[in-house]
Amino acid sequence: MDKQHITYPRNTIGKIPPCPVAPDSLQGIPRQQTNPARWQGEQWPAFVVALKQANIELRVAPHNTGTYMTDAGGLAYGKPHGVVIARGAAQIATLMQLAQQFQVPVTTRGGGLTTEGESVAFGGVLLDMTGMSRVLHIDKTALTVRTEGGIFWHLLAEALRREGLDYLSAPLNLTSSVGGTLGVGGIDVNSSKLGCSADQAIALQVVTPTGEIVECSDEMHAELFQRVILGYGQFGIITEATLRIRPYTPLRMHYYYYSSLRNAVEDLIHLDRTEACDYSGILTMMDRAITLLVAFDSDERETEFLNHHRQAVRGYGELPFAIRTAAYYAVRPWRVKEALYLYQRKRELFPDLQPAHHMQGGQMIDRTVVFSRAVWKHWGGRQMVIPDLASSVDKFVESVERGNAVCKKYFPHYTLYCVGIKLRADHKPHYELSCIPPDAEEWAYGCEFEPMMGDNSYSRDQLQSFKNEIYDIGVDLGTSYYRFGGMMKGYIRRALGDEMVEKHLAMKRQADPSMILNRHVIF
Amino acid sequence: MSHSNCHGCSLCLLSCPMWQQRRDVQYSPQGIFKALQHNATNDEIAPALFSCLLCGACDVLCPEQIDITDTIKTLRQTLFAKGGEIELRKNIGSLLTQPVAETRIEANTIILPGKALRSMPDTLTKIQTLLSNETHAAIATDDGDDIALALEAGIHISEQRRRNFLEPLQEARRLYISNAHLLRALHQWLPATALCALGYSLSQLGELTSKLKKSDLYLIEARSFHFDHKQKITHYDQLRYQQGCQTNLDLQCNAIPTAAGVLNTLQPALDATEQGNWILSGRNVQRIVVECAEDGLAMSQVTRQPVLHIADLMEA
Repeated sequence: MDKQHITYPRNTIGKIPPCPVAPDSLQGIPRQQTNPARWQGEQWPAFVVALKQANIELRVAPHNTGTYMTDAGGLAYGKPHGVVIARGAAQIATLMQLAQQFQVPVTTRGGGLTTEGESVAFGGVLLDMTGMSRVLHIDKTALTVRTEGGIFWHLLAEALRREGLDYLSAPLNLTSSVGGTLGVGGIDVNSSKLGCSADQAIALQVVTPTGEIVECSDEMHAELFQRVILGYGQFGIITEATLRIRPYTPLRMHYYYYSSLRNAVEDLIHLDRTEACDYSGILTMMDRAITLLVAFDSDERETEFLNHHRQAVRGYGELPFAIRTAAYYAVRPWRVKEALYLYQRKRELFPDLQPAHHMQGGQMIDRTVVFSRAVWKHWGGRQMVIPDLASSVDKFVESVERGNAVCKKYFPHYTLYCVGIKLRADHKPHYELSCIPPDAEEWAYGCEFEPMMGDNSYSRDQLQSFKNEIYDIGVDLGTSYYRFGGMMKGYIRRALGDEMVEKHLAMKRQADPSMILNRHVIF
Repeated sequence: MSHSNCHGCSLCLLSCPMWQQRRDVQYSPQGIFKALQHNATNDEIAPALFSCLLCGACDVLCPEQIDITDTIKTLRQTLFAKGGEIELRKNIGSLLTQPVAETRIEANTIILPGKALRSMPDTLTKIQTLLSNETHAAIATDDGDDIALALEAGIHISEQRRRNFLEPLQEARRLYISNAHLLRALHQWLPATALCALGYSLSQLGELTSKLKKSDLYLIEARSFHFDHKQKITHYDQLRYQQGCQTNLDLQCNAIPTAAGVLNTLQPALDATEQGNWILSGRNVQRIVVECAEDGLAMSQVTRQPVLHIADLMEA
């Protein structure tokens, strides 16, 4: 298609169609749910004809569109008018040019692991990026990999491991896609050392909302690179990515146990600041049974930690903690149910965190798999509700304690997952309007609050109220959020301010005249 | 758990050869089940149903513990019963009749080697010797190739044929079965008999596995492995660390299957070369040792490296 002959009409309805549920959605209101209105299909028939002429396969059967009905969150439901399986940058470029021309919304989807409906299409086209999920080139000398954007982190790991290599950091859920992760952040238990997954990207091939194919990096088309990284899919579709990689090493794991959330969080921060370990994170079973994970890439690092830093860690080993916990409950028999829950949880969870066939000589050989499968087995389900707070170091302890209090109010059982994220000073422009809080220096910290819903059935209203209450803490403290898109986008202005939002909205309007790419995720 | 329990986590895609070759969610257990949840007809999902290798890796991965392989087999049966897949039915027809005048086998131990292994008489003799420790292991003349194919394709097996097949096996105490589909079915049909996967049993013989080298790629037979993953993973995990050999286990500790299988041969849905190349990709291998003869044939097509059956290590 000759792009020069296309004139893109400007969207005339305030760039965002009014939402009957929450007309002032962009300004952030305390509402119960914020599913956007479905696009009504204006110009769809003409668009379909144009796609056919361009030889782009569009699937419109109910079972095709229904496959993408919801995301991992399971709270937002919407159907696209049609589905396109991504097969190449040129195909996507044509799709975007036609979508601009006919003002058809395009929603991109990788692993579909969003929780606020960001990868759910409320009409328009659903672009399934997993169709582009191959590793293109591994450079063992430069330690980089070029991959298609729709690849799952797990498949990338699979290809890298054959060469004795590994990615730097990736989300614990390995059906996340590389493209989706780079657009949002990506937090691993080594992010306190290596930064978020988005900071691994060296260069990207991006299809812009108007259908140009652009190679970008910090040196080339830097502004586009800055907007696409951590940009929630607003400024382009990542079709290829060059990522930094490293030699593979198994993990030497240690777990320390706490009965005080504050102590655990303070120790986590201390370990990160002193660079005492290679991996760190907090996982709670209850707010008086907290696990601090500490791990190492080499025996030398492990020995150094045990000799010089272990004393500063206030957590107990498994046996001493079990004895202390047993003593605690022995004099509080009325809390026997709590004790039983803890025991049961430990019995179920711990073997899955160190399964024999993923361990060798006490080292974890496949952390990617172990954590991902444990996440799905013990935290997965039809609904995944994971509000979070992303704060600077100074505000982190208070964020966690206040969030914990909210969890306790709503649910009998829940999990907190906390990690640090090493920031790159040269990536400040990447972090604008992202999960990285504007006041964070050197490290940012994230805490996810996940209720253990088990077989209980919670109403959508209850879950949304819970999320809102967590997010209100963020507004009060001036933090950011990892999951501030989709149904939670009402918080963006409240948390990050009008000026920043207006700046990015203006850029979005310029880059995406019809406001069609990933509509309703942020704008 | 049924297909309606699938909530679309995509974990099944990670080890699914059908999805890996096509990168299209329609061709995955998740795609099939999601389509069914949205009222897809069997005809609409037929291409995916008959592309599945039934390797069973997804059964191990599914957090909802849906019995995916059996569900797909049942869906195939339904499709056949309704008269679908006419071409395939035509191709299979001639293979389904195996006129064998079977007599009862007077042996406690019987080996059901399957067609590919029967065509390797020397190897079969070695297997017979290896498995004849306390009692003589006999080779079944009717080893149910047609039944295995029917099970794989989802075709109805007549009660008469099933009885004829089972009758000579009734008195045996132990059966060694090469075909995993047959193995699964026999667990239901002969619950009192000790049923062993042939390849797995051979891999337990130290006299063979001690000859595996670091430069060997040991190919675990995927279907029977995934059928009993919990028990077998420990064995194979030890095998690879003790012998230092490479295996076809992926990061999930699932076995990457070859595209071998009668159905995929009759109606190729998966590219056997691409599948073989994926197994070999990034590995420095000088020899491939298989525990399933069909896998050996498939790998011979994609590599110049020697491919031998584990039983052939007997004289190596």
